[in-house]
Amino acid sequence: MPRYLIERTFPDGLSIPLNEDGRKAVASVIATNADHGVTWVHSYVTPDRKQTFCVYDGPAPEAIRKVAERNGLPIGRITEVNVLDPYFYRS
Amino acid sequence: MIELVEREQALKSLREALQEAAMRGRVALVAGEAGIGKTSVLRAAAREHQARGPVWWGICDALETPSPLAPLFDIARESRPRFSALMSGPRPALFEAVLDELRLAATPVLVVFEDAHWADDATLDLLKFLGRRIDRTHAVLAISYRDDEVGMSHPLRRVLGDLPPAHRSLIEVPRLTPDGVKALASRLGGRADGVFEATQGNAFFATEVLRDTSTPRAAVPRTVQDVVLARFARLPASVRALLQLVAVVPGRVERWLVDELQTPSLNDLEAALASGLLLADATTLSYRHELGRVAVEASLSPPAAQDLHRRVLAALAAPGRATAAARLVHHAVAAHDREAISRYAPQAAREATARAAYREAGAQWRIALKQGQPGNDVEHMEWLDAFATIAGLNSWIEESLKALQELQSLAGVAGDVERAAAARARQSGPLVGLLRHAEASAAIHEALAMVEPLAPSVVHALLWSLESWQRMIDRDYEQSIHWGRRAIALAESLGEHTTLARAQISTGAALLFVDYPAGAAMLLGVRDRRLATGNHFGVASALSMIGSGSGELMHLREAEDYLRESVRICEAHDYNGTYAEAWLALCLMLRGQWDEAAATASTVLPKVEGTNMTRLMALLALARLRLRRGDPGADEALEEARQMAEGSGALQRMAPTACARAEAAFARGDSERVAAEVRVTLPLAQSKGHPWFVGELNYWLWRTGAIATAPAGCAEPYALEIAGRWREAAAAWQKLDCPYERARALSLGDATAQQEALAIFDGLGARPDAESLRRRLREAGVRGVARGARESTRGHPCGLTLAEIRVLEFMGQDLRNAEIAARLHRSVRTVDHHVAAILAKLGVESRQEAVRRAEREGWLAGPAQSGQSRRPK
Repeated sequence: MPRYLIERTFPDGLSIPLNEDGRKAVASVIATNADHGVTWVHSYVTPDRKQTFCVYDGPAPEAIRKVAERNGLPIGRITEVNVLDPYFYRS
Repeated sequence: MIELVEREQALKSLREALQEAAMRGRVALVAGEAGIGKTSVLRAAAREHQARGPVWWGICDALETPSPLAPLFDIARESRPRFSALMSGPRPALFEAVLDELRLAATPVLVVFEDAHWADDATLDLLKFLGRRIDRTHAVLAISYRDDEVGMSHPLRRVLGDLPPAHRSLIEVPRLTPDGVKALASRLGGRADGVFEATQGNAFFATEVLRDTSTPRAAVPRTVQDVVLARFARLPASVRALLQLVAVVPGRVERWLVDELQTPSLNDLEAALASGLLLADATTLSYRHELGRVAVEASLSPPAAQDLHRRVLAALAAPGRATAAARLVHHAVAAHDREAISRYAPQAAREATARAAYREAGAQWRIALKQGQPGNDVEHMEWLDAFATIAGLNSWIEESLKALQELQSLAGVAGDVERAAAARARQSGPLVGLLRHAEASAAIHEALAMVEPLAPSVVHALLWSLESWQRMIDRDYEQSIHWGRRAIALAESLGEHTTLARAQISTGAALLFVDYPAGAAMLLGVRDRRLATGNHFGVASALSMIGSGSGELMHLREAEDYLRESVRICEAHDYNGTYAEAWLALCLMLRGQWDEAAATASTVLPKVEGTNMTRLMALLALARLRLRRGDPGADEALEEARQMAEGSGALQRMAPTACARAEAAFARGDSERVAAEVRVTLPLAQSKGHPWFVGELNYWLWRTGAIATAPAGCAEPYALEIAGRWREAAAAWQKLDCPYERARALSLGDATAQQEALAIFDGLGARPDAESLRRRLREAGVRGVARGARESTRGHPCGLTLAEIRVLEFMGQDLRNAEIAARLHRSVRTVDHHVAAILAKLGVESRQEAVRRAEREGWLAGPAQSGQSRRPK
């Protein structure tokens, strides 16, 4: 399954609190993704929380957009990526 | 009976489904490997349910080629439902009657279809028909299957994928745990040590091992076959003979059949039942588990098996025994009885055709042709003719072509010129399917030459209609109309209705390109006549033809309406409507309804693997969407499309592929590639006089600077763009309802036009165009360039989606749904749906209430604060 890097912009900053509300919000995203064969691997968030880079596995970019729409998440650029691990290269 | 251990969860799910079925029916998919205990769970559920409501039980048999609707026949015979009277009638009425009975049931009905991995096509269609309507019934449709044998390409997988997720649940029957095996051992009184390790928790295998208490066990048998055969070997010879007879008959064996062939003593019967390998009911015997049957059958020597099959066949085929032909063929093949195969396989094929089980019908003809022996050449030709038709329906394209070639040569030898010519011309169908257009044309021309000396007859009407079709496919409009009119006149005078309708469709489609209203009227005429005779499939295909033709000619609103109607009919009747769906995706893409276009194309693609025109058109819709959104995967889709289109040599496949590939090449700044794409296809488009393809191909050349003026034959909006008249071009695109093309034209205009283009690009989500235009505007020093459109939303507290928030904002401006639809380039139906969803999510009764709440909570921030760009009015 292809892996995608998704860039999102949150002008007011993203906030997912480390409590029950946050857990619920994340769980609901994961459940919606599963309906479309999409897996949220993890995300990187800028210090001002206005920009995120999310790593997703999914069948196609259309599925990535569909779940973003259903989850009410903004979506900017989608790029297909592969993993490169520097420590895989050994002397 | 496998003892029920660790099956509480599965049983509970079925129990709950049956309770809920009083309100709303449900599909329960009972999945697991062979011997895992699916049947035991279902039997336990049936025992519980019997007191409260009816149980219908049908079994799909492991016949090489199954008998169509065999499980429904089981139900009709044993439960005597009202629909039994319709079993031999036409399929649609039968399916409706089954559904009606489940809909009107006073108490919930448990309907079991066992071993659906072996189901025939007609049964699969029935499961899909019932499954998709199950919520309107009071039934639990329990479908059991071996999930490890149902791969991605298995026919059952398609059916399961089409069942609505909201009304189906998956009940996976798991392997036993080590504790489960211990519990089973204590119930059966066997020793548990080593059993879990050997059986890996397979319930049937474990039960068989544990039940084996007769002798001290040195080691646990390694396979399920070993344990079955060890038990089998200990039985007396007469009991073994009985078990061998039952083993050669898949499913259940009638008692009369056993009595007639072996007359087993009561002692032998009881010993067979006591062995635990067999089960009996009032009239039949069967293996307790298919794994047991297969183990014993596989242990038979070939001559012994052949002899048993021969005797079973003789008994089943005796006069007065109304045995399904498919069952006779199964034994005839196993007995290597050529004569019986020749007699029963064609009969089985015709029975399957009558039930629209085309895969089985094709398989039976294949058996007849490969393993049978036709009585004479005339019969041989009939078999080939029938097989070619069925193979065509199954999209077994190569086989259909081969059968027609054989038929042609046989007819040639027999001196039957008309039959040979018809067979030759019919090869055009599979050849087009294989995208070998030139050979298809040659086939028809050769056939025409063959019958030229003969007086006009049925075969002439057929050939002329095929030639009209082929000319239409290759976009030679005038010739298609010419041959079509001749075919129509002749077919009418001969009363050949099928040929007549085919000729009207091709003529009407060709006429669309020359005189759109006249072509549309002709096609709609065919639709109306088919509607009057209840030929829904014909209605859907006429609508698909006019819809795709309208789409190619950029009559997008009409196209969308016709295609939607075609798709709706196909959905209602479970027909394959993927070509109309693929074209609908293309039209929605052009009309700027990108989310729906993407969803539509994405549903089509997995249904159409391999090389075919439907996949090609869906790929083109997806590729253009990805390009315009800046999403990855456009190049892969276009490469697959190119390979398919190139071989076809057909304008209607090559040109749209070349246009999309030119767009992609231009987007990455590869002018040489643009020129290469155009060079191959433009002469073909010009020779056929196709203004839209000629226009777009020239447009891309112009964008690279390769040409400065528009050559003749470009469609108006493209001619205007190339002439630099961007304002008029944009207006023309607006009239055609193409917002992206409109914005693209405006983006080449003055600063005001470019600002407008930017708003449209942002609204559509055309990121690359919006980004490059925004950069150009800023570089040109234009001030107040709007920021990106989709940068403003965060997970909404009430779970509103982005689209819903946008709709809510327009509701706040007092716009009606139709106005909102126009602003958002969405259909009114989509907006209706969004509004309903908003009201439901906010838990309010009216639009006003929703807007008031949104204002109160501050969700309707002004455009300046939210960064949301306004759409042009």
